[in-house]
Amino acid sequence: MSTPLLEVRGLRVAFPGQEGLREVVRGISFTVGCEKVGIVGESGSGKSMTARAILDLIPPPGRVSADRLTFAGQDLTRLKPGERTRLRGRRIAMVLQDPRHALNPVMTIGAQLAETFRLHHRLSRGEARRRSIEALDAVHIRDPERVVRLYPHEISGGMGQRAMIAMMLAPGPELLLADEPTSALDATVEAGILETLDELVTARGMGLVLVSHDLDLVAAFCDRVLVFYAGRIVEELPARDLAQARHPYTQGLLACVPRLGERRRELPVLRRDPSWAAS
Amino acid sequence: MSAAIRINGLTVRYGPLKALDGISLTAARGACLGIVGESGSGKSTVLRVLTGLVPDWQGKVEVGGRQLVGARRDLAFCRDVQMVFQDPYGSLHPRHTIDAILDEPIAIHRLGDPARLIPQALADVGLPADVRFRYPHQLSGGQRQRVAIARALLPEPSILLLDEPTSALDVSVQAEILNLLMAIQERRGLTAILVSHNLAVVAHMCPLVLVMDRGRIVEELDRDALDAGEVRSPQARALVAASRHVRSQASNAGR
Repeated sequence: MSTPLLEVRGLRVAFPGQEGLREVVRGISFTVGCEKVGIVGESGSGKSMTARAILDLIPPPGRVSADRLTFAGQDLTRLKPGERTRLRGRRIAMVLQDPRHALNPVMTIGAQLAETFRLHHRLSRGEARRRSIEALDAVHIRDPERVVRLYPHEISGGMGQRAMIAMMLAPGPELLLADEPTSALDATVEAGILETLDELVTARGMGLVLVSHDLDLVAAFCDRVLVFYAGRIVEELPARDLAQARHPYTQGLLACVPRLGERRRELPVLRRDPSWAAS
Repeated sequence: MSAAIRINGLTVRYGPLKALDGISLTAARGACLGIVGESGSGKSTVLRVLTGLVPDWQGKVEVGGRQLVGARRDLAFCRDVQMVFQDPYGSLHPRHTIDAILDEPIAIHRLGDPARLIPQALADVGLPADVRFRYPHQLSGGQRQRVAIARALLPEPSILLLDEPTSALDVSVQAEILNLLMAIQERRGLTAILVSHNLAVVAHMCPLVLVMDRGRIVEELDRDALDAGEVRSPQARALVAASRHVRSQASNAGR
C-alpha cells in the first residue's frame, strides 16, 4: 500500500501515578490501509488506549505522545482541537463495547440515527428518517420501520449493536475502530454482527481496526493481527498464520482456550517471562 | 449414584414472562453438571432459585434429600451450598479487606480460628499469604475471583454453584481459574453446577451439559455427543457453531 490510511509511529500514552508517570502504551508503531487489522491482548495491555489515542479520547490527566500519527496524510498531532473533533465521527468512527451504555436511553433509535444523519449531511427530517431506515436495513435489522420507533431498552443487545454500527457508518467514515464490539453479546449473536461489519467494511473499502481479547475471533475476521503485551506489540502476523505464531505469549494465549472436541485434563497456563515486557 | 440436587417441574414467572417453564434436572453427587444457553434462557434463574434469591416459584426442588420451600434457607443449607458469581468486581465488598471478607463465613458458621483458617483458605486457591490484608481493588480480576472461590469453599460445602465464573476474565486467567475449580471439585468430591454462555468452557469441565432456551431444557449432551458434533436442537447447533465458527472461518480464509 502506497499511502496508508493510518500511520502510527512511537505512540505513547501515560498516566501520572504515585511513582511518577506510568506508561500504559509504550512506543507502538503500525499502519492500517484499506484492510482489517486486529489488535489482541489481555486487559491492561494497552489495546483500548491505543484506539482511544488515535481518536484523541484519552481522558485527562492521561498524556499522549507520538513520533508520528497521520490519517490520510494529515498530521493528527498538529491539528487544532476543533479540526480534530470534525474528523472524529465523520472520517474516523468508533464502535464501543456495550450498546446498552453507548446508546442514549431516552431517545428512540430512529431519533438517534436521524440526528447523526442531520448533523453530518444536513438533511431534512423526512430525508434523515428515510436514510435511518435504510441504514438499519443495511445492518440486517428486520422490520426497520418498527425499530426506529423503539427505545434502546426495548431492543436486544445484538440489535442495539447493529444500530450502533449503522449510526457509526452513517457519516461514511474511512476508518472504523471497533473496541470489543461483541464482548457484551451472546456468542451466537457475535458471528452475525461481525459478518455484517465485515460485509459493510469490505463493500465501502474502509479500514477496520478490531480490538478484542479473543484471538480466535480476530483471526477469523481480520487480515492482520497485532498482539499487544504490556503496552507493546510483541508480534505482528497475518491472521491466517496465527497457528504458526512464534512468540511464546501468542502461543500461550492460543493454547489456554478450551475448545470443543479437545479433552484436556488441565489447561496450559501462561508462564509470563519478564523479558516479554522489556523493550 | 445418588442425586445431590433433584428439580422437578420448576416454573418461575416474572409477570407475564415465564423465566423457567417447568424444567426438571438431576445433579448426581460428586459430579459437575453444565448448563449453557444465551442470555435470557433462564440458566442463572435455576441457581437463583436454589440459593433462595427468587421469592416465588412453583415445582419441586430437593437438595441433599430435603425439600426446599420458597426463599427461606436455614444456616445448615447455606453452609452446604455455596455460590461463586460472575463478576469478582461486584461480589466482593470494596471497603473490606480480604481478611474481613473471608472472616465473615467463619463468623456466621462458627468455623473456628480465623488466624488458622484464612491463610489456609488463601493457600488452597493459590493466593500468596500477603493478600490477606489488602483490599479488593488492589487485586487483579483473577485474584479477586480466587478470593470469591476461597470464600465459597471456607464452610466446606458439598455443593458449589458457579454462575459464569470466568466470563469477566481474560482467557489466560480463565484457564487458571478453570484448572483451580476442576482440581478443587475433584479433590473435595464436590457436586457442582456450572452455568455459562460459553459451550467450550462448560464442555471442558462438565461430562454432562444441558442446553437451555427460553426457560426450557431443549437438549442434554454428553461429552461424546459434543465431541462428535451430534447435536439435534437448533439452539445447541447454534452454540456449537458459535464456538467453532470462528475457527472454520479462519481455515477458510487460509485456503
